[in-house]
Amino acid sequence: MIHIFCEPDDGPALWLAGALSERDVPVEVSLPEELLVGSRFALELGGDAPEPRLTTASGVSLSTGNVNAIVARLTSFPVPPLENGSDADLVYAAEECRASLVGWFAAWACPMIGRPAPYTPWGDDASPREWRVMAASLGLPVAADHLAETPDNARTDVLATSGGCFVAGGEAAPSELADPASRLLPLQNDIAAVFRFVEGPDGPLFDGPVPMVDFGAFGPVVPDMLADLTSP
Amino acid sequence: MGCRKNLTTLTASERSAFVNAFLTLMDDGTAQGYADIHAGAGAHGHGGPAFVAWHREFVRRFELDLQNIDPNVSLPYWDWTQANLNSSGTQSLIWRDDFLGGPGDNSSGSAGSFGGFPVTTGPFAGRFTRKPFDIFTFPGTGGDIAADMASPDFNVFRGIEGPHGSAHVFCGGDVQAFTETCRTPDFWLIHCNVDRLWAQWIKDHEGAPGFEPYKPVSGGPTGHSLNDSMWPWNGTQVPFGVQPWVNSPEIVTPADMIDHLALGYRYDTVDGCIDIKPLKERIPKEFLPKERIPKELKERLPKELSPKERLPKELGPKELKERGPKEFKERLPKELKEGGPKEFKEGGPKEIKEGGPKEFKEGGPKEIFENDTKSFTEGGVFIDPGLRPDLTGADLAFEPGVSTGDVSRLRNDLLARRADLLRRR
Repeated sequence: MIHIFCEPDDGPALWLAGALSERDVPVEVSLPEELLVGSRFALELGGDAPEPRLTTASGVSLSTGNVNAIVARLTSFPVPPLENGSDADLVYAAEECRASLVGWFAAWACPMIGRPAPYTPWGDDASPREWRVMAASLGLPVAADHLAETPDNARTDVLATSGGCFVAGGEAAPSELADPASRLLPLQNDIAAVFRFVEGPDGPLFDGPVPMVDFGAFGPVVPDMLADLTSP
Repeated sequence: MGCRKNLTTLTASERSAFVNAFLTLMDDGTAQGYADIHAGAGAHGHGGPAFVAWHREFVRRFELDLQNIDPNVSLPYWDWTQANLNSSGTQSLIWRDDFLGGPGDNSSGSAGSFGGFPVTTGPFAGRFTRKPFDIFTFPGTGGDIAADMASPDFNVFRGIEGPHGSAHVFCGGDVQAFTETCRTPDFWLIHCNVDRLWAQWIKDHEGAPGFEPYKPVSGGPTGHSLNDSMWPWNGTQVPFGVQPWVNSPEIVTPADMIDHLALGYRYDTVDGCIDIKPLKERIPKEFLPKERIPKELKERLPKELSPKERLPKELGPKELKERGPKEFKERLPKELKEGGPKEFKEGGPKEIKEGGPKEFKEGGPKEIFENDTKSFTEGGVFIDPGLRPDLTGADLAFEPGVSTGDVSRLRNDLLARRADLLRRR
């Protein structure tokens, strides 16, 4: 089963769910708050490996035995459903829940896209500037600064996966983009990530990662990849 | 109340209804009239706080004109931060020939203004120009919009005028031309999305202390303060007068625009397209607790189970309220202090110990069974129509397997679950 956590207006995530269904892949979609409200949320430690589990209020159960991959699209961490308590208590409880959720997501051994990080629920806890430093340390040409004013037609987003690198529409990325993107992917610790490149005088320059991937922009690549994960 | 939806979730019939109504307004000159007004709205509706308010009224009036052609049409919006492809990623749901048609055709001739080439495919072929863009790309700007949306300060939020410009520029041609853009459906889908973002931003921040959904209250450029009347509806003739408002001015202010629900429409992502009624109204009367025990059964309840009769007269609700817990404890009859009447200690009255009245053992009294049957078999409303999933997507012929209706249903399901979780909190 592929499990997706997303908001109701997260078009790319809903598109992905539909595309997986079309491929007869079992898929469940949950709201972020279903992690905490009316649920049984557990992270069991002490065995050979941590054992995360969840049963939502609507009866959906997740465990290491029935989940093939998780697509996390959290834009914020859900807050605990507390009616009473001082503001300080609520902040404390929210922090504790955030730590628990980050630990819970980290405990999943299955592939995950968008694994939440402590200060970035959508994953990818490095800033664009840190990314450029990391890319430069790999010997890749990088943009001097974040080029917010770069014309749209000079930007290229590249989807990097373990199975290859792709540009819009799911076409294979040219080697001048695929090579750096595939070298950046391990830094992301995800099974798929999108990296943006801009036109430089001598070829493409790395500009930064693109969070909250629009899966549909890359055609069938992501749903096909997730469908493969569920194949016997 | 109409619901404005993401274009990717429209059914085939909704797509064609919008296109047909729009073509009618192009042919009868209405769309050109809006283009003429927009040409004079440079200072009135752009580059200032009233950008969102002026366009809300402008878009609302155009939608009413569409609804005069077809009352079932609501404006769809284009979320240009996403690719808007079909589920297999092979088609663009916005630039397809059954909706807005394709990009400009640069196979012959040279580019016109703003890089435009004639649109040659789809229902609007030959009617205006666009750039020859790649249909699998899109304007993006999601990061900029997210930053604007995250701030509770209206002056930061209204920065979305910048990313909205990117959408115009992406389309290019007439869509980018200030004086022509309203003749294109692209304009209305772009501005419907801008309007949705304002509604969403207000919803996101309205609980914040000191939140202002619009500002300035006063002191802004003419037409841009909260209670200023806006051109052209106020009848002023700068830069030019527009009939019929020159003769019959209407006072429309930014303050009037703040509550989109009061203007008569909703957004799928902001308000949901489903009417969720209170639980009490959703459950058939016969299923409400009070009605579930038939009178006949009530009469057969053992007297020991009637709270009214069990309570000593001096412990009636009025007395309990007036006297408080201590007195209550002191006045408890001995049998309650010791754990309740004898029957309860011994496991309840005989009827309960034996499994309840005869009717329950046999599957419930006749009345309950008959009521249930009636609900299901004689047209009784069991699930309110407003709560039923939108199945119109099943009509989509262009999406075998997965339709945009499936996505719409999933979105509605999530919204309903969110409402349920809110009740649990």
